[in-house]
Amino acid sequence: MNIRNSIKRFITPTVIALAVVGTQGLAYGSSPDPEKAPPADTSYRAESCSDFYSSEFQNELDSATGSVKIDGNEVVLSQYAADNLALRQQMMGDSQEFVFLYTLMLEPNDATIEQIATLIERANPPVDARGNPLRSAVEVDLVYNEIAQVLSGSILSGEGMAPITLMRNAGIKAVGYWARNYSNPFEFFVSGSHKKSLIVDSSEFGVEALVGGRNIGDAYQGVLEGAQADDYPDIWKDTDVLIHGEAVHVITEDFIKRFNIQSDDYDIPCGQTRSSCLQYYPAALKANSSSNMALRVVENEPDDNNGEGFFGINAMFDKLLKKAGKSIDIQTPYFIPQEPLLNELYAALDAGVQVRILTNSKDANDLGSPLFYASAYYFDELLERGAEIYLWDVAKKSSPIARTMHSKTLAVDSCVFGAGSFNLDGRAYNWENEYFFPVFNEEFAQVGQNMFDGDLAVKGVYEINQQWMNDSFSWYERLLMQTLALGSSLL
Amino acid sequence: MQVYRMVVAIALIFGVIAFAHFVSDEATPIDSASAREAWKSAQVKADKKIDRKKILAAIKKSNSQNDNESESLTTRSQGEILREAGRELTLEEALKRFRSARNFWAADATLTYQARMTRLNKLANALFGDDAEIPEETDDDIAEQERLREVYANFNHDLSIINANAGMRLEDRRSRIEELVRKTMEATGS
Repeated sequence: MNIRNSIKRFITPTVIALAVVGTQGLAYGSSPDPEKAPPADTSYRAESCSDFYSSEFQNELDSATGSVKIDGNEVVLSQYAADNLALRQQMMGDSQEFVFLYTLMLEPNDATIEQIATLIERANPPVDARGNPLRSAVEVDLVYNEIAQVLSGSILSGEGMAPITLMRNAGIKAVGYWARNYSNPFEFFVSGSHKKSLIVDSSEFGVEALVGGRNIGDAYQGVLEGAQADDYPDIWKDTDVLIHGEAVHVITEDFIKRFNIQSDDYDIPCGQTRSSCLQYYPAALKANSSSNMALRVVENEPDDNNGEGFFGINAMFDKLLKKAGKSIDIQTPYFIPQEPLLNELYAALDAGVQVRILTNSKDANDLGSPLFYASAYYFDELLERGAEIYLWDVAKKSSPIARTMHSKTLAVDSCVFGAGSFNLDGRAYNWENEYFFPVFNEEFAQVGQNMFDGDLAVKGVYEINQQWMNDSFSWYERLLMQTLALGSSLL
Repeated sequence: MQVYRMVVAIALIFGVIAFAHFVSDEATPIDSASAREAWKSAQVKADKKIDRKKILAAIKKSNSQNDNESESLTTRSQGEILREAGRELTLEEALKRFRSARNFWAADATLTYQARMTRLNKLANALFGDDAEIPEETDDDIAEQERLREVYANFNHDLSIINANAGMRLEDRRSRIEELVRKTMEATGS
């Protein structure tokens, strides 16, 4: 037996075991007892969709989430990568006044190049012989996560900043996000931006927004080369929603606010009120003028309130899980639920609500096996209480990277369907700014529900049970799960 | 105490992550060059006129067609690939990233000296810790910065030539700019 095997089999597990025992002692000694799951009281739970749409429940959401219900929107689900890239290119390519883009990062690869080219074309009008522009330059403003951008791309060549520097040289205002109100270096390091939105003016709709889980790059907008008919067609599975209507103005307002907070050298010329910059708030039109979907723009902003943070999405999830009367369907790439939400899932199960969770397998998790082990820690108890857990484990085939399920969606009772950037994990709950867009409309909720049901039938998705858990994990993997779960608020 | 617990948890997690990768036989990252060769994006070319109605119709159609494909188990085929947030960066890799970012910022004509220094300090804090000194520039770094400045100067020159061709059709203009962007990204190491 060589040294590596000796370490692998004996020494490392022993060290880990000792670390676990010590750290668990520390955790137990320094934290209050975990809250017990509330008893199965079903009186608050919804019996029909009208319970979610009622003014009583909506008023509760107003105060709990700091958001408002916005009526009169049109929402279209955008789930497939090729359609999504075409839509983005069309939206940006037809803009005449402004493009506002909020993203974690722009990967230095093909899909990004195509989109950057469109943005640069819009920001740089053709000129006549005297050098006068033949049309107005489109204002293109971008917020990205600086550290994620630096670290994107190849580890060896480290060309993460290439797309940003190119855009800045071509007249695009790109600002990197850094936490501003941190109280210690640790908070500075872990607080990050994770919001994703694309807002453009439009000759047809006045203004429109595409929001959800996608950043910019081949992972998000790439299709599987040589996919067969029964393959999932995209490299990753992700979900965005296209919004027309008044809600776009609320998203615009937030973008301008965040951009101006982060920017050192240029502010979008807009004061505290929309009336001071009406050019960014044209009338918001719809393809179907009678469409009347109610939605909310909900945020987590850990850096707000002088660093105390604002966590509207956490409250929204808490309320929706409490209210669920029939079903809760969750898609999340990293399932690391924080205690309050985990307790609500337990309570829902105890009340007889069907809970289905779709998350990544070990091999499909783009952040690697540690994140999967952290998720798996929660599976035993959820399965025991009756949850259905499905793993996204589609074959890699021609993809050079893990085939990750990257959607962040929640469907409740087929009455509410929401998508956004909010992963059900510790980072989203505690440290990153996030968007979530719950739509309170039966017709749209059914579209989202159909997507979820369809995703469970994708080749490579399978349901796990207690036996699978017993068969799949060795003792040291169990130890890893426990240890990682101790750090769940950071993962 | 809360901060203390977090620090302990972080230390433990990094230890566990290292352990997990040590015991894994599949922890080797993919070669990025071959990855790029094998991987095409959705390939919507800029010179195509994009039809909004067609796109929305296709999206709505696909939403209504979440057909029930038969469920089957497939062989697991992929090892761990960490691609976000530098969870697996060694000091050497972090240094490479830092130097690369500094070179790009030095070649960014829109950044003032002050703006560059602010970014460098923040990045150094994030990558190397609060008290870390900014790594010194090497001759290679300075040469690379000069090279990048030249690449961007060439980019701006070529873009101005495209812009000066006022009679160019929009589709051609988009194609030319995409070609230029691709060439520039390749020249800057992407």
